[in-house]
Amino acid sequence: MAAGEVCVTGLGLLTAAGDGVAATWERVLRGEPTAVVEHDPGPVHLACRVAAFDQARIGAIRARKPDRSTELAVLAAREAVADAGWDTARWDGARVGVVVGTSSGNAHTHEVQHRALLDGGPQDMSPFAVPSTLGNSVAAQLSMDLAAKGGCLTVNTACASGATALGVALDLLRAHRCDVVVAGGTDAPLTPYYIAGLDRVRALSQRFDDPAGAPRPFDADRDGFVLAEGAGMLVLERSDDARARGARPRARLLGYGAASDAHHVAQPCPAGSGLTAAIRAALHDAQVTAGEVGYVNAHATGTPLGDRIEAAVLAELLPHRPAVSSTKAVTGHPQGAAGAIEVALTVLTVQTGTMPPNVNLDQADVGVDLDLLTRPRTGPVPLALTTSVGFGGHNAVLAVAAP
Amino acid sequence: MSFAEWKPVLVSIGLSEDEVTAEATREEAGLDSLALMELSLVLRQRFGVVVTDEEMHEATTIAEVVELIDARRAG
Repeated sequence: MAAGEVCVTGLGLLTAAGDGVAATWERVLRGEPTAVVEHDPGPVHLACRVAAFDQARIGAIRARKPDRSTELAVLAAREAVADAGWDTARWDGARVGVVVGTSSGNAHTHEVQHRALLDGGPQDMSPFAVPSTLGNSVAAQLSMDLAAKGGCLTVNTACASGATALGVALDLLRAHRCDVVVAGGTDAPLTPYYIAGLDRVRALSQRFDDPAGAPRPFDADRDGFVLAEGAGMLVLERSDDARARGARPRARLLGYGAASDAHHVAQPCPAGSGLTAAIRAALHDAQVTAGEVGYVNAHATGTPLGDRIEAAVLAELLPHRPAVSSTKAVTGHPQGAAGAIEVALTVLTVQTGTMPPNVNLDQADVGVDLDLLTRPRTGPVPLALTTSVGFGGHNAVLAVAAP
Repeated sequence: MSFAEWKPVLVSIGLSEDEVTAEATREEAGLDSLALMELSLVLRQRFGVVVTDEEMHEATTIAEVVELIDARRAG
């Protein structure tokens, strides 16, 4: 165990695939898609929604009227903290940090309050409109809910936000600015503005006659991603601290790499140079070689261009052909939550030695030369990578190792 | 309407089921200044009852808040 090494002691997930870590993991391994066709709000679209849950689980929290993205994050964070064996009434909150990645956080509340303002004037706006929609509000709510009084940050790298949050958390722990960090991502963008706006970008799958067949990461017939909601939160600690308190690390977070394409507001750089740089940086940070990577949980969302570029980058940097899968055919694409959910799934992969399959992969696209799993594969996975890419050219990669 | 009838409205704006009692002070029930404004908004939009934030601030306990709302509703 290297000095300053950081491990994952707790996981929390609330996704379209399931309520909780166990349910999500089970459905991801089973490979059962979640997309459904919706007509409201228009235009007609596919969606992967988190199933309804008992609102009493949220309780009365200080946000008063939390946005759905906040609710999802609170529930996932509570699960992660309990999984880590922590009692928030007992930890030294001053040493506990929170880092939340969110891309369109609080979108629903923002849109509802803007409508109230336009329709009824200022007096019809809730006094909670601004405090509930500022970019920091999910992280602030988590700090209150968890009595976490250390650094409390929000990061936004669009669809890489959740992965970036974990990279920032890793840095906070290595620098001894915190002893525990609750970090992850959340988004609930199934709102009129984001559905219509992403439809206008032509980013969304139009497979309305076969919703279960969408999205189709790496498949020749892919036509876009499916917008989803969800949250993934993790508890990170330095490994020596975790062991000293008798915690059971699920995995080690060995390295983080980030790079920007500096290319385009929505399209990835055709050469994949940012993603390449981020993967190399993560391997360097982890002090491992590319040949040690046994599995990659790919960002691949099912868009024609993005998947092709990512496949080419992975094939070039990892010529020994490690197993690769995208779990988005089951979870959909929950934007800023995606990276954190996929780090959590990668933690489960290295911990259990079970690699999840690609789903809706009938025929890999021409030029995609990867060992793409079409059913779960078992075997030791000492080292795995997970990639995340966001609008604006953000790339974030984490290296995860077995405990 | 009685306290029991208004309580769900108070809970609906985000107050704790347990903390909203007739005897509780506004502070104990979590009815801070923002929550008071939210309550005024909900009362106007859902019940057509107009109570200003300033009037709400005069009430010390939840029972007094409910009394004020009832008085306005009757008026």
